[in-house]
Amino acid sequence: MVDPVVFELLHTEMVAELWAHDSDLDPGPGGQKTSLLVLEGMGFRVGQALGERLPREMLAFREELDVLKFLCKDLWGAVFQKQMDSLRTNHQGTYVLQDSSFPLLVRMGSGLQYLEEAPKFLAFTCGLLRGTLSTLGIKSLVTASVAALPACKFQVVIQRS
Amino acid sequence: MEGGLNQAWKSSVRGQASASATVKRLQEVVCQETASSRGPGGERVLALGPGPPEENYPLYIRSVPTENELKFHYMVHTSLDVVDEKISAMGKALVDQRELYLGLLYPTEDYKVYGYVTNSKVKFVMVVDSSNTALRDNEIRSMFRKLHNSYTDVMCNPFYNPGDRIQSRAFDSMVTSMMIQVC
Repeated sequence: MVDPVVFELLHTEMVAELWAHDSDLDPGPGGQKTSLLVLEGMGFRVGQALGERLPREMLAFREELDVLKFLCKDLWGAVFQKQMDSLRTNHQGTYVLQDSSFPLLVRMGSGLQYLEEAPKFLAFTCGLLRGTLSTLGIKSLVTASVAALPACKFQVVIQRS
Repeated sequence: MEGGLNQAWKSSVRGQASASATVKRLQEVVCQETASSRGPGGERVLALGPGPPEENYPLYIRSVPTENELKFHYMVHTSLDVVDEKISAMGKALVDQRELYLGLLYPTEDYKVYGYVTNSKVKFVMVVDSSNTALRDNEIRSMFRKLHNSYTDVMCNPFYNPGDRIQSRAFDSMVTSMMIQVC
């Protein structure tokens, strides 16, 4: 198995690269949004593939909550070598996944330093969650928030048509 | 050749077509497909896409030998209903079984139809000649497992966009070797 730090370093470079080009084009919020979209899109495609690969040996998911539990246990375990710390739901299609020590934020520090920079480092992971859900047949909207590093929350809202 | 086949499929099988309409549009497909190796029994392998029942469209279809194509395409389509029925039975916890392999969907006088559905709601349907009694359940299971593994590899291929028809040669050759083994 590959050392997890390889993915962390690659991810850091991805964010840095996108932001470096950003300042040339459009220094305002518009350019930043594009970069966030690109990161989210990358995470989405990776999530789609993982959503096919990871559940392979598992039995069929019976309901939505099973899929969310799979995200918290198996997806997080495969990508971040740990499980999500808590999963809450309002039973009406909104789920809040909490990680008290998110591996992609852990190296930045703990507390409030770098709080404004943190959201960039969550975009890929939001896409990852959305992509995996999409392969498993669930359309969703995933957003993330940080109150204090390295803890963060991912909010998954199921889109029912 | 493959491009033409793509076009015909994309325009023909989307959505719930009535039986006669399906047969009519599929006529184009038959003329264009190249002949595969001939064997004593017939076998068709089909992987179908995900989505709500109105949107089941084929990601991949292959048959050996190639006469009577239409009949097999039609059988696969009707067996989709059985697959959907089994999936919804699983969901309602009426059946305790949560396996991916669906088993024999329904036997007709000449053919047996087997189904398999993945967690991502991709359905695999296999039609085998009834005279081919040498095929046992566990062999069918292992064939489906191979199909699932190959499909996963296709999904992980960066040049594949999820939802497109499968054009991977690796997938083709896996299916060919599997069908030759059986026929």
